[in-house]
Amino acid sequence: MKFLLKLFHEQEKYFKKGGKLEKLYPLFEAQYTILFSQKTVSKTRVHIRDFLDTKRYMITVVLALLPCMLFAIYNSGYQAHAAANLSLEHVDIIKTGLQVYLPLLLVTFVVGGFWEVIFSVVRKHEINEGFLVTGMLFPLIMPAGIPLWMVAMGISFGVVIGKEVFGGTGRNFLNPALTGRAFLFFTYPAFMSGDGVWTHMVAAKDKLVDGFSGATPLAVAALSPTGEAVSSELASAGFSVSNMFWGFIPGSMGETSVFCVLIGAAILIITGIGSWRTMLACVVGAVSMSALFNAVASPDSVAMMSVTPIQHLVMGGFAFGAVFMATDPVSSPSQKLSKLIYGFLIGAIAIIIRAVNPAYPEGMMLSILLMNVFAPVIDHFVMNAKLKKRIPNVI
Amino acid sequence: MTLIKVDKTYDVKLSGKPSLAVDSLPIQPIHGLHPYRIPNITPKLLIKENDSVKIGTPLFFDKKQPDVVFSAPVAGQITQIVYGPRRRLDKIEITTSESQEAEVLDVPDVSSDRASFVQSICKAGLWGVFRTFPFQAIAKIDATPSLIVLSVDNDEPHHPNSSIILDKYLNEFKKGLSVLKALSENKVVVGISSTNNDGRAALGSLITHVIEGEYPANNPGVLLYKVKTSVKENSAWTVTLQDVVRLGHLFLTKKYPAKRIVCLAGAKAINPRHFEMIQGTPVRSVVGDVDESTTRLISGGVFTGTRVSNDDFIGFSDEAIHCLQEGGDQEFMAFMTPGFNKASYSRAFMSSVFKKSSWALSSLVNGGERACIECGYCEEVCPVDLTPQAVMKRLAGKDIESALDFGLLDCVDCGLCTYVCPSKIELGDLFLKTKSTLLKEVEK
Repeated sequence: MKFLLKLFHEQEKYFKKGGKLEKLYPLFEAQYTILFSQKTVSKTRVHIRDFLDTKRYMITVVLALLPCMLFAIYNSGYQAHAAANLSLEHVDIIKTGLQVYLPLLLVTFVVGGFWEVIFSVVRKHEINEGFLVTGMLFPLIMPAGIPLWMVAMGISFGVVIGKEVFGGTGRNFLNPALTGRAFLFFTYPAFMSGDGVWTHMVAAKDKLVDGFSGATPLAVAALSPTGEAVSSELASAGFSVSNMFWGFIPGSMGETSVFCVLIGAAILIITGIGSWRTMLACVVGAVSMSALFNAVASPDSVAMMSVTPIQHLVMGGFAFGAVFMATDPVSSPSQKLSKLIYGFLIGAIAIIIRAVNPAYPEGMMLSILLMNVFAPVIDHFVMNAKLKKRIPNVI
Repeated sequence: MTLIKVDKTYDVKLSGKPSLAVDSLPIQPIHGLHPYRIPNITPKLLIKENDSVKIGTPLFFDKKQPDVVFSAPVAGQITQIVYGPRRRLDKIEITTSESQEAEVLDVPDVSSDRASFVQSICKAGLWGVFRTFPFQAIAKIDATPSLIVLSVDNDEPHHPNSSIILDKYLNEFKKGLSVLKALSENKVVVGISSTNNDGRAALGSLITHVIEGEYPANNPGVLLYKVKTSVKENSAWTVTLQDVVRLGHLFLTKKYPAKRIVCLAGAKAINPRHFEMIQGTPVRSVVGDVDESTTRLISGGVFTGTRVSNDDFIGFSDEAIHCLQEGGDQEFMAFMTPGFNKASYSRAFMSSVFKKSSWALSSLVNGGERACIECGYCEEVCPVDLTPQAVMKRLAGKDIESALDFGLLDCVDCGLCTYVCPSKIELGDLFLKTKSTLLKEVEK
């Protein structure tokens, strides 16, 4: 390591101000500081500093995402093999899974990273670690069957429009990964919704197993003839609550396993990096909204209104969104009370979209993005209420 | 006696705490003063090089209030006056003489009329101990304070143990307190840490508030924030414990009180302990010879102190010298390690599970400066309930008015927000600079 450190020390002068490669400093800095901790010392009257930096902060989220990522690899292989009636040996499944997941991850990091570097170089600031998380999240919210060029489009839109045009990490008001997904969702709906997109096809259509539908639980529930039939329809499609909890079902790659999401949630809450208030409030919001719908549902109303709260929590992207998307500190409000309001509304609005909007079976993405927009407003009112309690101290 | 609980505080558990031993330092061949290090004054000299001075001879005054003078702590000859950049008055060196003669000061009794004993404090060179909120400017001599806030303990790592001072100078403290009471028509708040049992026993009914909480619960600014009931008290005065003792000393002996208790602390300090010394003692005689490229010398604590060098002198209000590790090794992939040996307010390191009893930290910033990610740690440690990140964003947008509405002037400059910030934003520095700009506006 000493050799490597020496190399960096020697090369540093070329990237510093006035050096030949001055413009590429962000790139140099990123590599240098990923490999070695910085040698900067405090210049102000606060002489000591906490060891937590944004690298540690973001890497903790990545760590929390690992179970979902590993499961995404396994499940996308499993779904592909099950649909095509191929071997269900673990090794084969993982092989196919890697073939699906790795290109997505690679494209995300190469294309997204490209934009990050361009903006850092032009703006002359360091490359921000926030992209690590965006880049990890993005493939996990993609359907397994998505073409790679579309992934590139999505992450470009997410990074550039969702984040960089507003000033980069810390100044974006929308979650970049979700912005990218929303872009794809509305631009290429045929590739982002419907029954055919959730499974990676390893065989021709006519080689698929009999009765393969590829539908997600949300689609099945939405298409039930009556509200009373929802549970039986779900059960006959193989979507019992426990199946949906463990997650061996079709869906966006990383979102299906509530179990893996809960491991991530535990990591985020124990380390204090993700807000338990937001997560809890999301669940409370969803449960109360769906309970309300259950109470008012009549035999004539849409089937989705009869989906029980428990089913809602384990279906679709709710858990993943509540744990990893809603808790993004930058796009969520900062006050403790605001987080409760924000989370509650995310949960409630997600269920409203699921239940009463026939066009979109899933509502989590849209409800998080909507509340991202309202987060500063919530903060504004909560902070103003807090300021009223202060004895004014102005000149 | 009222109990005050301060919730948002944090103890870093810094190692190198001074022992309770008190060494007595004799007078040194050369003593000195650093006028520029006394905040918010414009010093003007009253003496020239080669002048002879006695203990208590005025050396310079504050141009803003010419009655406020600062006096020589030792008798001898002025051997050097050093100016810094832009003719800043950096240093006055006094070569001490053998006979330490003191000026005899005319100090009336506390019960005499206010104007005469305010004048006597000014002439004795002690009016500079009265600082006013919110800018820490020196108090106006013709003003009556709405409140004087005194906190017996300074809990910033590390400061002299108040029980040593109270043990040695209890009578002086009591006399000094009566001076404060006379100045403010009895509106004096005396706060003491709930852990300071000796002090509570010694002071008894003189204490008005008992403070519970880690650093910076005992900061006088925090105490003021907790006790103030009206807008008028925003401009309260504050004095430190040792300065109350000095005032008492002045009124008891009618001589300039040059003695101070100063502690040597820090992981890199050799035998950290307390010293009884005369103001203006060279830093070198306290810390010994250290390599300043690997040891950072700080006057005061690690959150609010100023850097000094070994050639400097213990100043007018200095109470502690901290020896901190300067810089450190560049670790390989440090952010990926479990972090058993990384102190953190957050729970993102294993050190939050396997807790250490004390930490030897360094001056490393431990990360690169980034944009604020609204993690909210700064808010969790702000003892006066500010939202530092929101204030910072308003100041970044040059919106000082709304920063003031958010309570910027309640900020006590404790430095905790800067300490915990994972984006390594210099919040405290920004607030301090804004306040000093505001002070200049106010003084116009």
